[in-house]
Amino acid sequence: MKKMNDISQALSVSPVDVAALRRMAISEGGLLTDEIRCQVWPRLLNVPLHILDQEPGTGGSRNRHGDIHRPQHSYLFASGKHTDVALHTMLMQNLSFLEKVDRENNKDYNQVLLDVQRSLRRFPPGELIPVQSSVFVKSDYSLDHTCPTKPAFQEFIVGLFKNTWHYNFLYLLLHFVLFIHRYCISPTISRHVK
Amino acid sequence: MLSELFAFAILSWRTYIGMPDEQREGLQEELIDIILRVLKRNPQLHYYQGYHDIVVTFLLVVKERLATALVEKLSTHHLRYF
Repeated sequence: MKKMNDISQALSVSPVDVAALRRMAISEGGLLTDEIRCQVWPRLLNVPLHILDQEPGTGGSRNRHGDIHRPQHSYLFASGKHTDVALHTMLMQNLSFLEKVDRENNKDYNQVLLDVQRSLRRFPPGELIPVQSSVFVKSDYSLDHTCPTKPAFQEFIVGLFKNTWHYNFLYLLLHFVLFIHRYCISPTISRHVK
Repeated sequence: MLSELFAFAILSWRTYIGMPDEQREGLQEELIDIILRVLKRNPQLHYYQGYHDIVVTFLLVVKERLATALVEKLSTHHLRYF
């Protein structure tokens, strides 16, 4: 909660306190939620949020006649000092900002396609929050310190799979029960049924 | 041995119960589009395995449009050239 306040405070200052945001991003727990990440990431990378976050179609992306739209205009004049050339030219060519790239003649397409098809694990179920669900992959991390019960439970689950003697014991027990069932109980049952 | 089997089963279960197929395929299409677009606009960049893992991190949090901008900035300014 304190961290949320710190982040919102760093965001509300003008100009935005990028150093503080960077510090919080690499501190324990990271940027907490996806809503905050949406706000902070463009700041960290110095990408103008109000221009690029428009829905396609409302901005200049579908314009065929090459008119410069008002948002671009205001961007070009408002923050002229801080723009870098690549982004500048990119916004000038805003017609093709979300262009479809020709896939057939692209040398990288096959490799990209293979990698993307193999990346099923990066698309978690439910809400788009991959942090909590990656606990089995990175069991060293305890990510959520706002709720103390969760990491303990996660560590318990992970420990269950690390300490094998539990499982060897359970394995023996299971087979003992199965043995009893097979040679003592099921013959009796079938005899009764007959 | 058995514990590894259980861990593997749970990992594959996690892979199995991902997001709905249509949503995932839509995002994968967007992912391919973003990567190819960034590569096309910056001919000095080259694709390498694992780059899609970087891009999907952005795509899962922000929409395609902002993700493209962030990834392009990151690739041209922060990641090492390859």
